[in-house]
Amino acid sequence: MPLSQPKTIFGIHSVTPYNITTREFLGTTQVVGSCELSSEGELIPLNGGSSKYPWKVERGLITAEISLTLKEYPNWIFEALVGKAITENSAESGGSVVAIANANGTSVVASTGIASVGVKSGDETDVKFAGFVVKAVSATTVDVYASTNLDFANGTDKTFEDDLLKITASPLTITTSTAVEIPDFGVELTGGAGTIAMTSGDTAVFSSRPINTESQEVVVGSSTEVFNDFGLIITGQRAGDKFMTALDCYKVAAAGLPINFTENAFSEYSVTAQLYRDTTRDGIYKMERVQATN
Amino acid sequence: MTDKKDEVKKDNIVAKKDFLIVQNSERYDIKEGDDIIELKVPKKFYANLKTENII
Repeated sequence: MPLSQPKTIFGIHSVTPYNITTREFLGTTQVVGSCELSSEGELIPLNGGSSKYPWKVERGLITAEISLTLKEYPNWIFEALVGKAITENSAESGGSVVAIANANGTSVVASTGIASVGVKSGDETDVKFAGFVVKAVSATTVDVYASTNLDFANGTDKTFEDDLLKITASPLTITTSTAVEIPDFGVELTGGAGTIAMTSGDTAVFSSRPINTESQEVVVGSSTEVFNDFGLIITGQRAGDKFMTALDCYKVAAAGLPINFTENAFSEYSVTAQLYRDTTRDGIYKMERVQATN
Repeated sequence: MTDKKDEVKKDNIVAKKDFLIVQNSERYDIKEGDDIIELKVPKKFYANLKTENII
């Protein structure tokens, strides 16, 4: 019988996490730079006397670690690495506005201030991706500021009015139960039912999303975070000779998620995870490979 | 013969200070001493003008 083909691993195809209890998949990631399993063991020598060499060598602890380099941010990565599931929003054919809330003081969002903020009917295409600050500049008028001009060319073009990121050329007048548009931003502020009387300097914040097919949001670092370990299936690239390898890591613990914004580059980040024993399946990982014939 | 109606003088509402109203397509650039009625500022803004101590 001739020698068999070399058992090689080439490349990386995907990384697929799963729930350890239900074994359901959390998603998958295919834009992977690398996924390297290091299994480093400690060797403990017995030295003594005049011998230059150990009398015996025994094996100590073995640490199994996975170093992942990923180039995308799938939803599951937040749940697995920072303990918080992403909120997935449905498509928004008219854009959307996240509710306004007081920031400094309590007079802007009030029955005697602004009751609500919403997309202006007919101006949906002007809604831009930004965060906004509404500042009372007198008892009945407000200036509005935007966090970024990233999306200012969406719909009607806009520019900042000053270096403090103001977007309203003149203060907007808020009147009782009347909608006031923030010009060319597709958003309107509706006055409260009472007599308008805000406190100058008070502020409120909201954000808007343009017409979209999907959006996600997640707050990281909150008190409701829950870190759950997960399983991980690492699949190498399918070789030209139809040789395929998959590694099922039974229990993986990881924490921390770098997010890089780098000039003219896709964010690439590295995560280190540790494997530990699954007593039910009696092991830390299972490697499976096949030389397919079809 | 003079129509008595023409003899009735309208009350003036004079602005005490400058104030700018900007709301949707409406814009009223009120200057101190301006007559609000003459400027045809809609009554819906009167509450604002009172709160702002313009009238």
